[in-house]
Amino acid sequence: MSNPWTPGAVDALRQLHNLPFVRTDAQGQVVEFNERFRLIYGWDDRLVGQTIGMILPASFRELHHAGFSRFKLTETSKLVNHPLELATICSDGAEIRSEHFIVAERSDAGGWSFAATLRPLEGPHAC
Amino acid sequence: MLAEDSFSGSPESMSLIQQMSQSLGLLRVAFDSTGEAMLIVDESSAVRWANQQAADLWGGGITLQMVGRPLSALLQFHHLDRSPLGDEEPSHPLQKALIAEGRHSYLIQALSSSGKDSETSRLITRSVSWRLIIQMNQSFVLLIFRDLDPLEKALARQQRFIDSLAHELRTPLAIISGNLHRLKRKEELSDNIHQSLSDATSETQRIATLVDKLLLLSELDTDCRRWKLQTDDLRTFIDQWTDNLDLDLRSCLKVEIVHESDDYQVQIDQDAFCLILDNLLDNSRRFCSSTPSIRIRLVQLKSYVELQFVDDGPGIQNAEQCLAVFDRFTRIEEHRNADMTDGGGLGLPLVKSLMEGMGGSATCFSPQSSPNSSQQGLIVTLRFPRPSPSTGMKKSI
Repeated sequence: MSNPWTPGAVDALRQLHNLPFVRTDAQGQVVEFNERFRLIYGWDDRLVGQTIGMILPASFRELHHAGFSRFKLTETSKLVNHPLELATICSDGAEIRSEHFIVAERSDAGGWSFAATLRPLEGPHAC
Repeated sequence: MLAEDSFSGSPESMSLIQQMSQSLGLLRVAFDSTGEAMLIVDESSAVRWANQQAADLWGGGITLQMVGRPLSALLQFHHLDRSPLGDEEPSHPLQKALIAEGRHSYLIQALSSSGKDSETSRLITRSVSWRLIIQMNQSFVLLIFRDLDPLEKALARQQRFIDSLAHELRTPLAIISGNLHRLKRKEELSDNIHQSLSDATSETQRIATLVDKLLLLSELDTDCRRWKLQTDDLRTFIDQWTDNLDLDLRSCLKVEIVHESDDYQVQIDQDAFCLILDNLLDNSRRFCSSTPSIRIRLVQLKSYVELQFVDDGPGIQNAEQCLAVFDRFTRIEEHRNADMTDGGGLGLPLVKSLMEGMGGSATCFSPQSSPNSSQQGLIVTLRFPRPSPSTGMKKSI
């Protein structure tokens, strides 16, 4: 997949390449993920309601929590609409280097949610 | 964990977590708004935390992308003469942080992944401060990078001026000294003129020594000295120094080792070490009334190897003066002698700067300043950090 991530193309790319996807609410709790995410990273429904920090290495969690808290105050972040290469933790503790593309979406009620589309960069599902 | 606990706790704890989350967000906003770049580096020299300014300079604008990466992969420290600073050099901030908190100016180069970006490879001057943080049994180093303020820029200009001036003075002094020596060889001159020429020669020599010391201090101040660090037993370094002394001087010295079996391994620059001992010896010879009796005593401590340079001179009468003698151009009034020209007042300051440049320290003390002591003399204590077996920042934390 040579085409780089761009904000407008994420949904189309996700459909086209059947990419893993996970969404959190404004508190950073997982609210949904797709089958591809389940298959590649091994998480099951018990992840729903947990913090998205569960899929990040422990050393990233300070910045992750601080970033979420910051977004709630400022509604701005350099992480959204920007491809990020991060280690992603599987349910068995293994790490898969993946590219994350995070989009912040505002609901009609005014609350925020965050949708992350992932592209595994290594392992059998690398694309 | 803020979020993990948020579902399982009571309403009170959820409220507390929300409050902490808000505080965290406010802190993050504050840290990202500052003009200083901040990094926290862990025991393996990998970045654990960064603020936005640091990310803008060295992380492509994304703080999260810096986490877990070795500091050396993100930026390169350079001496102010533009030569690169190795991770293991004692003047590297991560190495200095292991000894004490401090601050110094460096040139810093961003290391882009491609290595071809001319903008990121540009050297920028920053005042870098460092501090060791122990948190939950883990060691971290906080690095803060600040642009130089106008006063610091003026100081840097002044140091460059001293550097240039010292270089410019060396040549005419060498010419004057050579001419004086030639004149002194003329036999037809009267004894009085010979004496005047001898005085002029020794004064010229004194000025040349002063200029050399000023130049060396300027190099140390601007971090331009090229250190050649070697790891060896301190006794070996002392032997190398004494081997080059005259027999008369060697006979004044006695080396005492507290425990022969102790480990006296240190990492030092032999040339700097010789300069330090030369200056201490000059100092003792100047102030001891007859032939000095000097003891060099080695003590092994947990984090340091200590060298005590003990003479039998007049010493220093109080603690205030013991600090003042390391200030430049300071002379103790009661030590001034009408029959002898003053020293340059740069010997002990030079010793201190050279020791600090090698990650150590220099202090002094006189036994006679203690009420019940019958001993006399000056004890200059040099502390050398003990090298650790492994490498990098982790080696010593």
